[in-house]
Amino acid sequence: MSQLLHDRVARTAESRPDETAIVMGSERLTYSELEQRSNQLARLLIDHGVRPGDRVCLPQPKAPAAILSMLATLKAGAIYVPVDIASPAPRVEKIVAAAEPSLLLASDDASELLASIGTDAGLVSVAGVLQGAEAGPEDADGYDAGPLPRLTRPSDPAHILFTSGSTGAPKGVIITHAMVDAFLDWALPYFGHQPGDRISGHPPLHFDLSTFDIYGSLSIGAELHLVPGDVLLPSQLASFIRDAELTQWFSVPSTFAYMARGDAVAQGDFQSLGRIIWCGEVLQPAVLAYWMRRVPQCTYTNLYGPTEATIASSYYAVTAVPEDETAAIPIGTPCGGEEIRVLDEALEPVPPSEIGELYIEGAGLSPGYWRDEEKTRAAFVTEPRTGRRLYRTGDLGRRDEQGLLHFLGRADSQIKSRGYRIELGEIETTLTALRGVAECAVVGVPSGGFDSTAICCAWVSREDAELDPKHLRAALSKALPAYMLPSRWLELTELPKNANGKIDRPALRQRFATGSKQ
Amino acid sequence: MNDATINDAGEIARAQQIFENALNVTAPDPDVDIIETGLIDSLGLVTLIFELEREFDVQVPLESLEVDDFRTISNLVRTLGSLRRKASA
Repeated sequence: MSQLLHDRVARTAESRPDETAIVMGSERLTYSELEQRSNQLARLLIDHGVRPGDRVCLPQPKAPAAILSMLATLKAGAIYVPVDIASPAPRVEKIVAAAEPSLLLASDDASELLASIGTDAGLVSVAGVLQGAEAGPEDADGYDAGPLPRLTRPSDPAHILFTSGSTGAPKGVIITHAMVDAFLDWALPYFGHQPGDRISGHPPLHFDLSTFDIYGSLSIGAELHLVPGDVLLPSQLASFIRDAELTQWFSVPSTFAYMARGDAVAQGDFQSLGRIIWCGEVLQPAVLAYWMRRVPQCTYTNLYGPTEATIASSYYAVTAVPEDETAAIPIGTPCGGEEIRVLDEALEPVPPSEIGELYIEGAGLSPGYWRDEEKTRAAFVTEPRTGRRLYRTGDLGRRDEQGLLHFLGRADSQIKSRGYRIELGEIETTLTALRGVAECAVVGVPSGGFDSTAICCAWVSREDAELDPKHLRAALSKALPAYMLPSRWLELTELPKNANGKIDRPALRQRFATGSKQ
Repeated sequence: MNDATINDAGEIARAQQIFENALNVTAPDPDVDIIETGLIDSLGLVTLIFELEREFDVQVPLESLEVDDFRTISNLVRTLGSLRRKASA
């Protein structure tokens, strides 16, 4: 029987009221504080008109207050939508317009951003919630701190995560309580989490991976240590792990590569650490070997899975230091409650060991994209053979003789950069709409560094236009977040085409890979 | 500030351009503190360093890098200048 996510946290608060739940810098919240303040805030939200099924947008930086806001939203029966306040205003505006929230629960850092976007939704500042001393119109202190009646079922949406969409508009993946619950039911026993574990909170909160940090940690009675924004250098990240005496580190592979490049890990370092987990991208075997030699006491687990099946759908425990630096680490076998199929274009299984597209089935599957029937129908399909509902990942893969799955790249033009998934089509659509751009193509090129993929843009100017990368970048940055901006640019008089008249992307990638600079 | 490359406006402009490309913010004046103003996070720094290495053809020694080395664009250019001198020495 599935549980509501906030019920998981409430149960922990009952058994461990005075233990630390969340830490960031000098801020520290105990489980009872987290529980009572989120109950108060939930009542405040309800007072502000938030009803079950409503959306509450959270334009807030990573902080204990943001997690408190998530829980309060769930307790009010509503759906939270994390909003990255570093994103450009037009993109935030698109996300807020699509979510159609009844309320924005914002941090003060977001006020400038929110002033520049148009929305009819009400606005509540979260600032007063943690500093109850200052009574104001948004002070939650006057509200009852006791539990609220259950307003939702596990099959209801808990949050919506907006990711890059190929047609230019971000798409919202609906994540239900039951989806996260199914993952946790597998993950917590598998990894052997214990009360008192000290777990890292590295990814930003609008990023799917953070869902595991938050609800994994808070359901088991662990301490969640959010990594502050000014922890920047490899050596600072390493100090953070040491000083917080973390028992689990979970992040995207580029962070591991960055720390290895900075040689930030000493032999026998991180004595407290027991689990190292990564997800979101391929981890280079050489980087893994560096970590495994220096921190030998940890278990090392590669997770794989798209946001549409929340957090992860398959796992592979690496038990020996990789010898072959060219042999990619498998994505392994499905997590409990999920199945992964390798299918051909007719949705029939490919013969053993052959390459096909990866499809996911199981309890972790999203009901679809927020208010987008068409995209939902295209991505969530029915398997003819079994009548089961599958999510089409767009990832290519194969199952080897041992039954282990291997990831072999994308079937389309989506790429991963620094763990973020990016639809190159979204960048192209935005660029093509700019005045002066006749034609453009955006490709991902392996960067050879710790930033796994460089986004490269080739463009053709209209005859009367004078464009340079600086102008194009400036124009793009008004619509796209930083991680989606091309870092390499190339002006051409025409784009290379193949025999069918389509843009010859392999030729372009080759051109960027061999070092054509601006 | 006695090094010729430090005062080279071209180098500063080039570093600002890379900064803009990597981080999607209008490049600040050369002496603005980019840490304190929150213009950079650890994932942004990863991209910035990689693109700087590519563009200036140097290897940034992450193991000995200090926060002050990239606290401002001027500091960045100075750091890169000394790296290149070391490489060619």
